[in-house]
Amino acid sequence: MEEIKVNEKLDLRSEVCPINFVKTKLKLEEMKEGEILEVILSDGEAVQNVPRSVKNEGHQTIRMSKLEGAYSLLIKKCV
Amino acid sequence: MTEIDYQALKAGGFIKQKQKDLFSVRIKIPQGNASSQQLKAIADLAKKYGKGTVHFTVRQGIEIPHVPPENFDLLTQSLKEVGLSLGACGTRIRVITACPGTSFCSQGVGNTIALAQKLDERFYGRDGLPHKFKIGVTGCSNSCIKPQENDTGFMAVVEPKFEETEDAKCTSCGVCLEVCRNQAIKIVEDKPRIDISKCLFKDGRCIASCPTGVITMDRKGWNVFVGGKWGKFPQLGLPLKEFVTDEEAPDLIEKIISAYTQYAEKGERLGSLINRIGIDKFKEATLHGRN
Repeated sequence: MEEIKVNEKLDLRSEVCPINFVKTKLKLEEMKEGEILEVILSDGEAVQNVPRSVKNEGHQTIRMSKLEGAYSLLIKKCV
Repeated sequence: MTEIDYQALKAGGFIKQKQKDLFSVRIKIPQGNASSQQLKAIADLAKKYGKGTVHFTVRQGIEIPHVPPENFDLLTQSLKEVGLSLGACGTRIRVITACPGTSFCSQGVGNTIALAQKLDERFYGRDGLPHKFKIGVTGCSNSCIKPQENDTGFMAVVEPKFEETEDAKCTSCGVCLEVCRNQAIKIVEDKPRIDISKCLFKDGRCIASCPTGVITMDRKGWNVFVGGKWGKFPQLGLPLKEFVTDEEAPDLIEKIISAYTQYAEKGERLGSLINRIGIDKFKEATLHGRN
């Protein structure tokens, strides 16, 4: 898989829904269009909900990969 | 009032209380949605004709307890002025419950409000059934409205398909694979392959989450359950039919009611009838009209 340059990173493993998404959204608001945010989510509900919420906000998930007991989500700021 | 016809009053939404000459007035709140104007009106009426309190029912209604019968006409008229009516009791088709569906819930995949309104117009309050009859409409397999606890329950379902177009290409991000709760999606040669036989929850999470829109809805509808009930002998409804459309739903209920009325004894709930004759026979009677 090609290397993707990550501009910002958030570890949200200790956060629950919907706070994990709220923090993702706030971080994206600080970023410039086209930049990449990596969020680390705990396995479970967060994985089900965050990608959909990211899409609803108009951003794009470009990669989702499984880590040990967690997930890494790469989000491109689009709007 | 000199002679009180308790049965007639109950049918119309006035339920006799344990306290002498006091009634609880059941107000129907369609799909559980009320305007602030309606809520204010209910609050005022509770103060004026009751004791200033309300009771929230499990079927999304609001009751005003402690109302003396001489206030019934005025109260009914005041409710009417804000577009509210009384709730059905007894052996009738009860208020059709609904979750928010696609109106504001992030998970809903079916327009529960539209279907419930349509069913309400045609069936609400209908009399002449062997027993009470409850209908619930839920917007996804999370089942917040508990469709399997109703005599007939509707659950919105969707089935996905993978399709790339000129404008939408799969980026192999891996989201669909992970959001599916039954591992129905595998990545084969960098693209998702959906095994529909494993698409169990039909909640459209893959569709809602796909960042590029290459996973889209193939079909949608309502899975229908029959014979659910609560009370002293609770049981869950059994699947009757899958992917029923909005257009087909009212006629299907008509057939269910027709078979129920024909086969059930007086006082027998639909679930009890199905226990007695078997789901296969009931399906046959409902879906194929054989008697």
